[in-house]
Amino acid sequence: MARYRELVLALVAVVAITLLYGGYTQAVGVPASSGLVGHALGIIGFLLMLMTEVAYSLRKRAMRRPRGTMRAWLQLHIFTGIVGPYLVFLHSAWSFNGLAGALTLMTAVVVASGFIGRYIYTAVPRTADGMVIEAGELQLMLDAVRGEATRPATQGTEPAPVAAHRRERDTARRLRELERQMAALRWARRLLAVWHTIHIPIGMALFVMAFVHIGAAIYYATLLR
Amino acid sequence: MHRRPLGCLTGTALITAFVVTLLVLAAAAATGNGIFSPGRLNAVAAHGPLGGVASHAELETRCAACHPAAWSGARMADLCLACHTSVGVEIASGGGLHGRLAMTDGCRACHTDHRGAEASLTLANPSGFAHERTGFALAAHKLRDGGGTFGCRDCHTASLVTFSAQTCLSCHQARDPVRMTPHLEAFGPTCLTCHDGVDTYGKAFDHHTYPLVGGHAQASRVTPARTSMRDGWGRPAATATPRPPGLTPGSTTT
Repeated sequence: MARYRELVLALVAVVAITLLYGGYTQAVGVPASSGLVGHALGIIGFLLMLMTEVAYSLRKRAMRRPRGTMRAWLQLHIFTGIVGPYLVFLHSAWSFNGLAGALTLMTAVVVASGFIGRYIYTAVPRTADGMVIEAGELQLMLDAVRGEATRPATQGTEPAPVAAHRRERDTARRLRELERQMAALRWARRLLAVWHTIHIPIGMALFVMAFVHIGAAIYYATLLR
Repeated sequence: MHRRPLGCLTGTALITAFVVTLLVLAAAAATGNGIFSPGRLNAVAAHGPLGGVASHAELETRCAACHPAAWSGARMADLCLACHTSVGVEIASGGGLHGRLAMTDGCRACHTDHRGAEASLTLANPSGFAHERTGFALAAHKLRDGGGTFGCRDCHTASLVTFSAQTCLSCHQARDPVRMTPHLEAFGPTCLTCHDGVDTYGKAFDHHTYPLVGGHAQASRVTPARTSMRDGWGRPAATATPRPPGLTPGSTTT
């Protein structure tokens, strides 16, 4: 439960928003994108999406006086990264024309990419500060176990052949386990790097389109009244 | 420790931003800014060709036909009236529906578009509609005889912007035939000449049917006497409620 806390909280928020939206739709009708409620959905949703991107990026690079753990900031990133796009989706009023429609699609793509990234990310063991455990650290542990396996059995109360056999068996199992972990870590880190090089540009494309959309809405619907 | 730049300031992100900006500009140029349209324009050719087009749908890729450039100083309402000239005439004369209802907020207070090819161009908000500005208040038409509230289509059977007095007659004749028959004979079927929905009977009301007496006489605006004196329901004035003794039309009380 604690592992999926941000997802559960996001789900609760999405259900609550859906109930409110459904109630409003029943009572008044589908809120138009350009109406008070529709605009509020779009503006709050966009601010949450902007916060999703900016706050986490800044925290990742806060070297001198970091506030809060990376894990907490990532959880916030995931929570706002789900709730914000959901509000923006409701802002669309089920109309997906032109740039606004492409923007909704792009939002869905970035959120889907975020979900994939979260699962790759959790496959990589991390310390509380979110730093990836260095492969060298695992290598040191591996070497220690190897050294133990090659050392002659001189201590212990059991008969030498039995003790040596058990230690060899245990060490072999530990070796296989460590090698498997290292291979998984290398694979996950490589995958995470690839994912990162995709997630950031598509996020950037999303924000460029969003700013153009906002500019066009202000120009056509506010300035030109 | 090497300090990485913000994600949005990396080379890949900046190149992506540049490419996406170019793509959006190209799409805007190719569609005549149509990519910014929030929805299809109305395609119903209701009023015949105006401004060279049969319906707004023909302006789908000509945004500037309705949306003037911000620096031009023109408002959208100016461009509406450039084609819908009859509405401009109504507003200028203060007559007709638009003359009475023209909002300071421009056409957009009541009209919109981009809601689909078949969608209405008029925003229906019956509860907020200032019906008294049409010359007929709905103060006495809130609840129907059979229960429930009046809907627009109860009275405006053919169109929301037209009204036939026959609608009044068919309903009121059925409600009170004893009174309505002589009333109709006396005043004719042009109900709105006298009735404005709050029974002030309008400026054209001939007050001789209800002679004002006492202090009321001073405040009244008496029109020339009618040859046939009748009460409000068309009955001869003699059958109306007698005036209080001692008071005659034109007399004053102190």
